[in-house]
Amino acid sequence: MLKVDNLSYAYTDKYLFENLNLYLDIKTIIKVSGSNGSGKTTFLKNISGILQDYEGEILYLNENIKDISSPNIFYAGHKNGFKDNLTVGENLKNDLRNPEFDLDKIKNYLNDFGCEISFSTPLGNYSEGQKKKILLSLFASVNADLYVLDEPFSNLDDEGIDCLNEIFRQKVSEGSSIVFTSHENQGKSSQEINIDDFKND
Amino acid sequence: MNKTFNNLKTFYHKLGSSPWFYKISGITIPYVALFSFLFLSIGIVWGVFFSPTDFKQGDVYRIIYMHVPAASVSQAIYYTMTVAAVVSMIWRMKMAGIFIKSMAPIGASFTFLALISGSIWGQPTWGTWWIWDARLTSTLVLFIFYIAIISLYSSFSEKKSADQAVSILTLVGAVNLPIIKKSVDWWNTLHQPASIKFTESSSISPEMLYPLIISIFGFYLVVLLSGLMAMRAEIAKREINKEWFKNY
Amino acid sequence: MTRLAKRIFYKELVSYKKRSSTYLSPIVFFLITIALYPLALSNDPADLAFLAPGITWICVLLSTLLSIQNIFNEDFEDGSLDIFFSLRVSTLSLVIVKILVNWIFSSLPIIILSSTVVFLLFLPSESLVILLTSLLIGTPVISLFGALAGALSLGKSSILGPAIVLPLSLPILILGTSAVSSFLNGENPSFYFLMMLAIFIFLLPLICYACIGALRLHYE
Repeated sequence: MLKVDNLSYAYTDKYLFENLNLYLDIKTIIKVSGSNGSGKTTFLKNISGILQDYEGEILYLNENIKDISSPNIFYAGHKNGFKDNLTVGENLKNDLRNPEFDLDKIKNYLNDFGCEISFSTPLGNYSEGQKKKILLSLFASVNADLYVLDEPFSNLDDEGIDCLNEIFRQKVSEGSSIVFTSHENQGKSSQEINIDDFKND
Repeated sequence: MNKTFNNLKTFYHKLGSSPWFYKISGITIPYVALFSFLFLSIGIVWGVFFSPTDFKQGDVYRIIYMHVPAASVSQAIYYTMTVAAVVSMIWRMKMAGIFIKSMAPIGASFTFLALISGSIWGQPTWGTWWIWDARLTSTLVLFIFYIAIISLYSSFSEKKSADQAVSILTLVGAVNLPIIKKSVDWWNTLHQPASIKFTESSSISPEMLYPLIISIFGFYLVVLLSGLMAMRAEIAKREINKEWFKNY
Repeated sequence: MTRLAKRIFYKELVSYKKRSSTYLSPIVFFLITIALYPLALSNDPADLAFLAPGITWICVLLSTLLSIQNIFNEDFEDGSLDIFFSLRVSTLSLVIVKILVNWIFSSLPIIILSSTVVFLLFLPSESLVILLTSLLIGTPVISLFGALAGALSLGKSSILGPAIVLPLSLPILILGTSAVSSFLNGENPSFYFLMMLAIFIFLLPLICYACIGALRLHYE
């Protein structure tokens, strides 16, 4: 599904990583690991088409990712893309990654995460962990072919971690693929890639 | 015909190469320095000490040997930066970006010089340090643009992006500066300030013109000199880790 | 408008409506700066009436500048801009929608409020319509310049906003105030309106594409 060919990315004259090769099949979970500042987030942004000044080629379903008009990719970055002053419901309803607003679906996933969230409270009232669970419930309810998640397990309690792994399993059985970054050994993945391996120091 | 065209093309490609430019500028800088010193000193000394006293303005007019070249150069620099901005945006030529980055402070300095020298000239000649006519206002705006370009460049950590950003800003300024000048000019024709009438010094005698032209040449050469030196410094800064530079 | 563009529009509307400072701050700023002029210059009605079009225009210009230079910052900081780019949203729609919504919430209230200068600055009431029309046509151009300044200096607070917007807005300022003063002199101000409109139409595609280029620069 996703083919990364000799990907190199330079930032202010220094290469973060060079000649990275990756093949992502459908129904696969790939964990991207690496030390702090190694380029994990940059790599994820390259795959999702946010940072396009890389060297090499990224092919999504055999098409160059730069030429695709509306890829079915879900991206959830380190910053959650929500606005604190809007209510939870307004944030979820207006999120551009959410093609349909299915309130109940998201509520169900929130229950699985063990969260008591009221959709009419401002998002800023909730803790970072709760906001993460809201973001992940959105992730769970959206149907995409490829999910790109940056540090999805951070700020989660044990219950959340188990729940997320379960959602990963579910998504993969439905035919999607997931790429995520993580520091610790929380996420279960079928493949792992370490950015530090592609540095040239 | 074909040969000259091919030569031009090769020259243009060479211009885009930092090592070639670094080498050539290193060779030519001493000569440019020599000639700029010659022209500048001849022009200024001739104009300040040996040209005739003006009938209307007395001796104070001699500041035009500094003011006119500075004003001319400040505009010319912006024109060249505009061309470089177009090249930088369309062909992503690194040297064009280096050109803009290096010339902006030089342009700012000469614009500042033009403004100050113009004010000093204006006081005894027309009785005022400043007037909001089209020329002065648009020169002030030009100065602000130079400062904005310098400030914008420094706010980017990635040089490629900085080059593009200042190219955009330079182009926006280039499109709008004529509009600004025309509109202030037109506004002034409606609101003619009664007491002060600025007229061009219509005919200038040859004894005053020749040193002026030499001065102008001298200023352009000084700009060329500073530009070459600034671009060399910027190339050094950017390519310091490259092989060709280490082996230079 | 594509579906995604409509959603962006709606999201912007909700976001602006929720944060009352988007329309309240410009109003407060406008009124305060208007108040400065009579106190600093002269409170003689005759003097103020003569200066009123210019003072109003300057205060509208400054208030608009204040609210538009941060137009892209919030989305940049909370990650929404990343998501825009990942979804391949047409950046043109994004820029136009953001400028439009900002203009509706920040400039439009000020323009309506500027009718009060008939009382505050003793503007001759017959010229009010002309003043409002000039503001209506001229403020979109100022918004364009402000958006460009915001896109270039994304995420940082810099002098770029005033340094770019104020000089570039000089022609609009001149045309706008001249429209009113020419009307008060008995002439037809439509020339000035047409010129401002022409400038807007000319600059709209140019500045929008410059904004798109500038936004992309921060993703490199």
